[in-house]
Amino acid sequence: MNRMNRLDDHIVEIEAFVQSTIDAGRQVREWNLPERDTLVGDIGPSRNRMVFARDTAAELGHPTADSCLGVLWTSDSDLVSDGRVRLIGPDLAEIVGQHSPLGQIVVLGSSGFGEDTEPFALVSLRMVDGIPGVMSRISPDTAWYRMSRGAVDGGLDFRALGREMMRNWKRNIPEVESIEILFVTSDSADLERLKAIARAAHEVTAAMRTADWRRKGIDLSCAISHCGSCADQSACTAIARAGSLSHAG
Amino acid sequence: MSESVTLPPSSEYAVEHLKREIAFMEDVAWGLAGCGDEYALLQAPMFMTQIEFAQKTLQHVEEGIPFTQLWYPGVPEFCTAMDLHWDGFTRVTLSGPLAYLVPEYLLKMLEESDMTGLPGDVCTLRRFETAAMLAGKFPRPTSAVACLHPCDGVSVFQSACEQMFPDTPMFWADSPYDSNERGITYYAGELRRQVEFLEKHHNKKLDWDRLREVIAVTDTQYELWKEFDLLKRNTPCPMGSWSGYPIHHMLQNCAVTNAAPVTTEYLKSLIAYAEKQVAEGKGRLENEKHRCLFMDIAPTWVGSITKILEEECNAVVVVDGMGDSRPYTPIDLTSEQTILEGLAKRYCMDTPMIRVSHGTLDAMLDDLRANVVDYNLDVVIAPGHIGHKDVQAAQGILRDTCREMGVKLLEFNYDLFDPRYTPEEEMRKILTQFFDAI
Amino acid sequence: MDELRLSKALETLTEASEAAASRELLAWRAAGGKVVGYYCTYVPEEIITAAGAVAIRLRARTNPETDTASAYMGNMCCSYVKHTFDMAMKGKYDFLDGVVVPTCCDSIRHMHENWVQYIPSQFSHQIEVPRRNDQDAHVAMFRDQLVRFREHLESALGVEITDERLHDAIKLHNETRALQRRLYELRKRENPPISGALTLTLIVAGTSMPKTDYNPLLRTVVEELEQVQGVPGARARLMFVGSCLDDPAYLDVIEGQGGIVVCDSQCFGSFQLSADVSEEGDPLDAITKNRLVDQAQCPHVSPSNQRTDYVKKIIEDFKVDGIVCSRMAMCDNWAGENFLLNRVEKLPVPVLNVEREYFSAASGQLSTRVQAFLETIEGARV
Repeated sequence: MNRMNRLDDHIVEIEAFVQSTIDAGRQVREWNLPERDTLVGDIGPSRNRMVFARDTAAELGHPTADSCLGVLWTSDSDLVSDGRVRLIGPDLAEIVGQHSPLGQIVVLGSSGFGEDTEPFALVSLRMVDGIPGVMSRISPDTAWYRMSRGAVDGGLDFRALGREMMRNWKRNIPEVESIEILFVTSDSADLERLKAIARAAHEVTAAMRTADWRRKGIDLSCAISHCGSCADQSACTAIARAGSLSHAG
Repeated sequence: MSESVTLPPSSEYAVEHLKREIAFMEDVAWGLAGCGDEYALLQAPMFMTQIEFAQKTLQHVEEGIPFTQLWYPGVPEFCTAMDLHWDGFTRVTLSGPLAYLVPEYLLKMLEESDMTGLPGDVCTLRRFETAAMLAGKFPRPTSAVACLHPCDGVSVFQSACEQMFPDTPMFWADSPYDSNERGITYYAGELRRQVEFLEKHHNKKLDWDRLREVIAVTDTQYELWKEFDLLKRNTPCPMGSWSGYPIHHMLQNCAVTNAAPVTTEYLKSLIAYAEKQVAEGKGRLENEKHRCLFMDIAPTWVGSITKILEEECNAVVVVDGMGDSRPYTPIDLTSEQTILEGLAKRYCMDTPMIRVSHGTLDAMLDDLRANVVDYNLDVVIAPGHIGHKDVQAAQGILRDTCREMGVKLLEFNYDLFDPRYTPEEEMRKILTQFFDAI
Repeated sequence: MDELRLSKALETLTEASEAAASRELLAWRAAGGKVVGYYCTYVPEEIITAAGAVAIRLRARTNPETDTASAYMGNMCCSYVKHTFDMAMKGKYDFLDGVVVPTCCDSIRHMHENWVQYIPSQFSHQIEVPRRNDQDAHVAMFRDQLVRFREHLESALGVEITDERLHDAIKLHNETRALQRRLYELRKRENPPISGALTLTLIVAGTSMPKTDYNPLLRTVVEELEQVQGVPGARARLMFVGSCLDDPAYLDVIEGQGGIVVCDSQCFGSFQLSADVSEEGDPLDAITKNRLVDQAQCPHVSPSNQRTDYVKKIIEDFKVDGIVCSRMAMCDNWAGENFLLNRVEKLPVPVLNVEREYFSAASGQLSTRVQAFLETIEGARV
């Protein structure tokens, strides 16, 4: 199987998850955003990416509320609906004042990812940087965002958030040709299903990294490792790149 | 459970020293109250509670009330929930703030530590502890709880402790190298034994519901700490160097502030101040040019190094090795096991200094990368404290990481506790030349 | 005594002790054998042997420089670690297929990351060694480490490490220990037939060659020496205590003043031969218990009374007159141990404290201090 397509099954599982939600009669909001679509206005306090606690409308993925983060990729363009943002659960205006669970699955399409392409889970946390009224909080492996009241009152919703994130992805990672994002803010049961898929996908990417390193003569099966052998090391570099670019952007 | 719990008598020197320490801090408190500096006054609660901490210890000593002694980072929540007073090894060793505020006293401590016979390349803090023990400066506790991290230097003190006070029951928690589930489970096991140890030697039973109440408060406080840290992301930084340090002290190093309302109020006051600064576009430094990560704890001579950095180099230490909360995970209060695992993670994998020193370099380097981006840092200061042999063995990797991040790295050797090692003039030269060059 | 037989064996072993890789090891390598380097006595050689590889202890006596390592490590780093890392960076360990790094001290433990980062041609495995051994949880944790080590080694070397192979390896290494203990027994005699320096040579040789080559050679030496009467006249019976010493020349300097080193408490010495691995039951259980419970413990592992009791027992068994406590600079573990032995324990014999580096140049100073120490011991007898 083409290396680039090893996550295809999990991408299909994501689709199945969304479809089963629709089949159960639950709302799944969907927006298909063309490239030229822009964020609604200049919204909320944006100085230095700070969102004060007192200005917070909602915290997504707070540690008490559960969070799930996943990034999958493929070279099969049929599996990615470029520009699509979907949401299962309440939108931002509906969760004001709460700690909301947050599932965030990004699916990337590219013919240009090479054999050494690294997973982007950590990088994806940075893709909200520079979006006015949104601040990502430090968390090793989950998504945790704070949304400002001004931003939400000014119209920030998951549609706009997704649009800006996708723009950031494409700007910072040139190999990305298509991208779609799924947000889940419903409940723990949905998050658990999503986590199972993200975990399985992660195992695939971990196996890919292990194989990469084995080709270089290093065995990562030892549980005690360090970042010198960590395939996320270059993703961490990408964090820096994304972070510095978001300042400029 | 032992039927009667007693407190061994402390030496006259220990009692006398405690009293002098309290008297000194009370004098300083008067001065602080009258200084009129809003920023300095923020630290008043930290200072006043330090006095209270020492006073409570003295009361226990004088009245023969059993107490325990905690090493950093013991789990203060256990003691708070058991209503068990504890004294801190570090409190005694550094005599509260005396070592930081009185150069002559620090010099005296250094001379005493030189007399222990321990080699000069052993961490001075370990030598201070040993000297304090030999001099009888430690108020004798009923029991002692310590941890076998963060470094080999602990073994120096442990050996001496066990042999010199054979009648004081001591519990030493082994620290896992892994920061994963296996490590958490292992350390949770150590913490369970720690509870059993305290119960046995103090004839008290830990009420797990009371512990839940305590943790619910400290969880909130850790979240406030994270909130404060977020504000330091602002450019210019609203706070001065090492601003997180006292927070760490209040949360983990002081018996009277753990889970106490004063700590919550203190954190809120810091947040309010920082928010006001950010809202008004003000930084602590008038002309902030450099934002630094200081990869260590603050030296005892922090005053002079801060002055050089802030006034001569226009550099602020935004993030430091002790004063920044990295991960925050609320503790799952469902069962005893989930509580212990949550505390294991908090006090081993997530707590400052231990987090980066107990295991592989992952935590240190991950934190470095995240801090540089999150706090918009341009300088990493990696001082090579003589006691941190593990970091000495990792300088090449650290250098490569900073190069990869595009941040400037300053390395030099010094002693966190002994200003004689790198005198002030030499420190000035090192810092000013570096910042001029970049 | 067959002097020729003895001298040939000694010659081979001495040569092995001086080389980073002995001739026998290189021959093994040339024949396609695997070699795994390791840093300390907590590393289970038996598992490496059972994997069909030869375990050798990392030493750097052929590498007196640290110019390369100094670019990667600070001044406060242990010189033993710096010299070995320098050797590795210069490719002088190219006979290794991998390295095993325990978490036994602050300087050594990050060698794992350094190895992975800068010497990626070889695999590196880290073994966590707990700091206590007085609870079941500590022992269980260490056993778990050995299980993971076995799995990693199987994967890295493409072999299966069966319990049967482990049992065979245990027997082989027990044979080594038994022979080494016989050697040490000779030193209990009133006039030992072997010096401390030569003993160290023989022990160190065992860390740099296959045990299958080493054991017969050592057996020859032991059998021959058992027939020899030692020469009387040693001024005092000394014990060496301290950080890893693999340099017999250091003991030569000490013994050059007329004393004789009859025993030691160090990891290139009595630690590794102090207890056999049980040949019954589960082999991993047996190795775990040997390393963490039965074997003489290094200052990394507490409680400390087990270590001081060991020292006192040796003083008694070997009729020691004085102790030379020699710490490698920057070694916190042994700084604590020395403090314990000097300031806290009431040892029945005097203690001389000295410091050294991995390559020690100040032999003049050492001999002067030892000279004075011996005079103190003799003076106390009068």
